[in-house]
Amino acid sequence: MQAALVLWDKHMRKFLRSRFELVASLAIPLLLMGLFGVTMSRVMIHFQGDLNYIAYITPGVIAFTALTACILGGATLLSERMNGAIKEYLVAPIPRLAVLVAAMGSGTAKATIESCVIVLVAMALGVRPGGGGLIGWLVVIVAFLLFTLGFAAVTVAAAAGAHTSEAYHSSVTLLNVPLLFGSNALYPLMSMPLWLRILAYCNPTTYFIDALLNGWYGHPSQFGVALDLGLLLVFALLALGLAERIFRRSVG
Amino acid sequence: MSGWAVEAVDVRKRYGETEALRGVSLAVPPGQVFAVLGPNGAGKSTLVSILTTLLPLDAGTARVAGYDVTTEPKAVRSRIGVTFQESVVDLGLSGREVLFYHGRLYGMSGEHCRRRIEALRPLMALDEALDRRVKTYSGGMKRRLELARALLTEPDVVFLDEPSAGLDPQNREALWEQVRALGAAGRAVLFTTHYMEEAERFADRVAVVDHGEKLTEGTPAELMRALGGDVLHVAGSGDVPQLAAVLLASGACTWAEERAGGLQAGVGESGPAALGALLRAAEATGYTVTDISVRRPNLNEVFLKLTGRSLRD
Repeated sequence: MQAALVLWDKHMRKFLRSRFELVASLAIPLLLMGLFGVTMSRVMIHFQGDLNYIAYITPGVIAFTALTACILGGATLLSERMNGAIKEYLVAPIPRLAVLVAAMGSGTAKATIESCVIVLVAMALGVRPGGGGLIGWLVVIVAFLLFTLGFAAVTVAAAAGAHTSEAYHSSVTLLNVPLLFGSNALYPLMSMPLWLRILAYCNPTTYFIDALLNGWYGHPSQFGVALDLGLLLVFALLALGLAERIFRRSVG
Repeated sequence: MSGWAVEAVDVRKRYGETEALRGVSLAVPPGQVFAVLGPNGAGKSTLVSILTTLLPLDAGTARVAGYDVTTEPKAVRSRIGVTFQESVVDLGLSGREVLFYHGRLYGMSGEHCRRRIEALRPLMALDEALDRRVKTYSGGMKRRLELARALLTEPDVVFLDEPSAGLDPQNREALWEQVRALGAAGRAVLFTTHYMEEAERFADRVAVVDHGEKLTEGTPAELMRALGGDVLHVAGSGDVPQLAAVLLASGACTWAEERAGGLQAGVGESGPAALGALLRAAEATGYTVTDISVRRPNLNEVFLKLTGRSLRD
C-alpha cells in the first residue's frame, strides 16, 4: 500500500504541475455547461418542475468530467507501459497491484479535483445544490466515488489490454459520447424512444445521475437511491475485477 | 552474500515458435564485471529480463544475489539495480525527484533518500541540473541519472542492458569508468552490449551469445588466445595461396589463408620472428608485399570465427 501511495503521489505531482492536463480536461465540460447548458436553459424554461436546465445537466457534466479524468488516468498507465517506464516498477520489490491501484487512485483524485471546479462553476451560474441536505451530499459523494472508481478501473483495464496508444484512445473515447447521450444526463428517460431507454437502463451513468439529482436537489429519485448506489457498487466491483485480471495478465 | 551473484543454469525461454534462449548457463561472482555480448536479437535482453524477474523462464533455474528468480522474486528485486535498454525516466520530474520517488518505492526513508542522493552526486555530475526537469537533459545526462537510480538502493547486483546505447564517445568513457568502479567496490555487474570493444575493454569476463545460445565464455584475453594469438596481415600482389603454402611449410605460423584479398596468418606469440619467414616466402614465390602488420586479434574476430559472420551484420 505504501508503494501505491508513492506512485500515486508521483502521478499527482506531475498532474498538478502540468496545467495543460487540467485545462484540457476541463475545457469540454465547461463548454458543454457554459454554451449548450446556458442556451438550452433559455429554451426549456420550465424544465422538470422547478429544476432549471443547467442544474439538471450539472450531474451529467460531472459524469463527463470524471470520465475524461479516468481516460487520462488510463493514458498515464498506457504511456508507462509503452515507453517501458513500468519496468522500473516491475523490477522493484513492490506488489504488482500497487501499480494498478496507483493508476486508479490518481484517475479518481484527478476526477475529484476537476469535478469540484465544475461544481463551483455551476454555482456561479446559479445552480444551488443542497436541497437534499447533508444526507444528500453523502449520497452524492458515495455515488461519485463508486462511479469514478468503476470507470477508472474500466479505463485502466483498457490501458492494460491495449496494444497501441491508438487502440486505447479510440476505444475509450468511444465510451464517452454514448454514455452521456445514452443516459438521463442531458434529457429525462421518459423523453427517449424505448430502445434507447433500454440501453440507458444498462448504463451506470443513469443511476449516477439519478442519485445526484436526488442528493443535490431533492428531485424525486426514479429508481430509489438505495438501488442507485447498489447498482453503482456492483458496477465498480465488476470493473475492478476486470481491471485486476487484465492487468495481471499484461504484466506476466 | 555468499556464492554467486548471478547463477543461471540451462535457462530456456520461447515466444511462441521462436526460441529466444536455448539453454544458457552462466555464473558471475561478486565483484566481477560480466559482459553478455551478441548481435541484436541474440537473446541478451530476454536473459536480462529473466534475471531481473520481468519475465518468467520456461525451464532451467536462475538465482540472483542468492535467491531464485522464480520462487523468491521479491528478495531478488530488493537486491538488484537495473537500467533498461531504452531510456525510461519521468520527463516531467526533476532528477532529484526521480531519485527520491525511486528510493521511496523501495521503502527508503526520506532522510535515507537524501543521503544517498548526496552520495551519488559526483557520479551523476549533474550539478545544478539535478533540480531541473529531466526533459531538459541530454541523452548522456539521462543515462547518468538512470545509473544513479539503479545504484540508489545500494544493490548487490547491477544489470545494465545496453548501457552505452545512444551515448557519444565522451559520455561512453565516463559511463564505463563508473561501471568499472562498481566492480572494484565489490558489486557484481552484468551488462549486455553488441560492441566488441566495450566487452573487451571493460569486462572481466565475456559470454558470447547468438541465436539464444552461449557460444563461448572467458576473459577477453582467453577468448583472444583461443584464436591462436597474433595475426599477421599481409597486403600486396601475387599468388596468395602459394605464399600461404610456403609460409605454412616454413613452420612460422599455425594457419594461413587468403582473406580480404591479402594473406592472414596466425603467428602465435612470435609475431616479429615470423616477419623474416614471410619475407623469405614472398621472395621465393614472387609475391610483392606492399604492407605488413601484426595485430592482436580482437573480440570481433572471435565472434567472426564462432559465428562465421561479423557482429555488425
